[in-house]
Amino acid sequence: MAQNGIVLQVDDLSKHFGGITAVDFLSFDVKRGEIVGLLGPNGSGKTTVFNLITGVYLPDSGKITFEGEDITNELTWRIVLKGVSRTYQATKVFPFQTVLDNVVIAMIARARKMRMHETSRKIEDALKFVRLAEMKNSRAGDLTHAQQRRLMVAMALVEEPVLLLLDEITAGMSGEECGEMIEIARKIRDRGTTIVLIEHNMRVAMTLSDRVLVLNFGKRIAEGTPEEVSANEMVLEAYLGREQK
Amino acid sequence: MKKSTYLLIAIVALACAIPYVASPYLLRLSITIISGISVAMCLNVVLGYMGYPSLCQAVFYGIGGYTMALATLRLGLSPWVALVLSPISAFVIGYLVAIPFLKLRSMFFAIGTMALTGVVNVIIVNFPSVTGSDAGLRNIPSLLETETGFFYLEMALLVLLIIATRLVEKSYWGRILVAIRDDEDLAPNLGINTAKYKRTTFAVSAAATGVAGAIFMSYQTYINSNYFTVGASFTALAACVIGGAGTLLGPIYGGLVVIGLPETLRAMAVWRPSFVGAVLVAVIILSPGGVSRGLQMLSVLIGKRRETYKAAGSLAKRGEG
Repeated sequence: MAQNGIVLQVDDLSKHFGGITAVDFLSFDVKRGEIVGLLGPNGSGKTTVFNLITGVYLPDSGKITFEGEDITNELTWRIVLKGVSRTYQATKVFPFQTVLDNVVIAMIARARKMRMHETSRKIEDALKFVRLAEMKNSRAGDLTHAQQRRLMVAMALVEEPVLLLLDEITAGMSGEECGEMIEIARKIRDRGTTIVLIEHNMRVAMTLSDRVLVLNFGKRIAEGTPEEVSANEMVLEAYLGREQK
Repeated sequence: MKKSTYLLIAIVALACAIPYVASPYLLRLSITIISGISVAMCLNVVLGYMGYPSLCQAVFYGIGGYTMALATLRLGLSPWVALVLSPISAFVIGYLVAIPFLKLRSMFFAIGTMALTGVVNVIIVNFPSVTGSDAGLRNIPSLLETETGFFYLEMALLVLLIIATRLVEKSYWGRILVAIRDDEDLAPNLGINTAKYKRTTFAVSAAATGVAGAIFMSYQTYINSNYFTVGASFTALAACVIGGAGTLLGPIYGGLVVIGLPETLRAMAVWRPSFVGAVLVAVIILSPGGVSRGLQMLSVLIGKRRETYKAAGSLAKRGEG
């Protein structure tokens, strides 16, 4: 696989829930080392795209290719073992277990084949990376919201994924915490991980992304650099509504 | 080794002395209780660690028993060979059951497995030529000649189960089970093949239950469809919950309360079910985590009090000085 090749390719992806079309013949690709932002108003199908990529839902039509391999109808855990990791819109950690145990569980499915000290080094690294190393023996449920979200990132990161799907990493965070999270996301990209992120916070999305896709009703309405997209008529209309004439 | 390990060894050693001091009735009773506790230990892995409230554990107990009965009576095999066959048949059926039923969750899984118990019960009752129906099968050859021998065999099985549960608890397998229990939707996103772990765990638990069933049926040399009832499955579930599901020794406390108490209270006749029910309700209200967690909390409380006394003592000394 070429170093600068396409990591993820999505072709004509569709998903309906009853009469609602969540994703409507969507196509896009993600190149290695890139941060792609998925933007769009509520209900525009962003999270559904993530769920389709990770195999939580099966698509009605279309094809998803990850590193040249067809992963369209693959089971979630297999896709994850291939190197796709994600975080959730709602915070998802194991609240009754310690921070360390959370990361250990995140590691467990693939760590057995590796050496023990390498595994523990990776866990230490991941915790340091999200600045939770001092809290590793606290119960995950006792952490603050921002810390729990950082833990979730550590759990997604610890296996050193090829592609990281970040679903609103800054949801419900204060300005300062947002800044920390953006810093973490940048550092992840610098490590060579390709990132697709969903963001509601326009400022965050614009500062982080190399390229932005804007969805509305499951369709792509705009694509380009953050500057291009923020000047796009269609995007403004989707977010703010049409101006009365 | 921890203090609790020594305590456990001491309790097991004490229990091993039962055949020398107990009356024949008490020995019979302890064999029944240990067998019940073994089933609860098996269920504990599925219910306590994996988080699936199975109501068909008695089915595997019965399958183990029927394997023992049919292999010895119909095929003429030695009971020891039948004892080896019983976990195999229970494992296979357990795995087949797991494939559709473990797709259900929580309450729906409980209802589904309850229905399974009912279905199996009807099948057993309607095949008298094979299963003996309500009349059952008699004259199953005994594995061992003496009751004392059976007691030690049951004891050995229980100790094995305790060790196995402990190993599972500490291994990556146990962590994965707990991850499945805590958040089954998150687990596959961490690369965990939940279906594989769930099915294997369920089937292994069924196999161990089958062994317990085979030993017990061989002991009482008789089996009938009564072992396939929801009530019997529910006893195991109750033992787990009362004792503390998801703790190593919970099923033992629970088994003593749920199976031991009604047996010892046989004299109460009509009042027995209500009394046992009242005890169960009391345990649930007083200690929601079961007897096991209640004891833990108690020891923590005592520990704290001791520390406070110590602190108070040192303060008093300082005051004197």
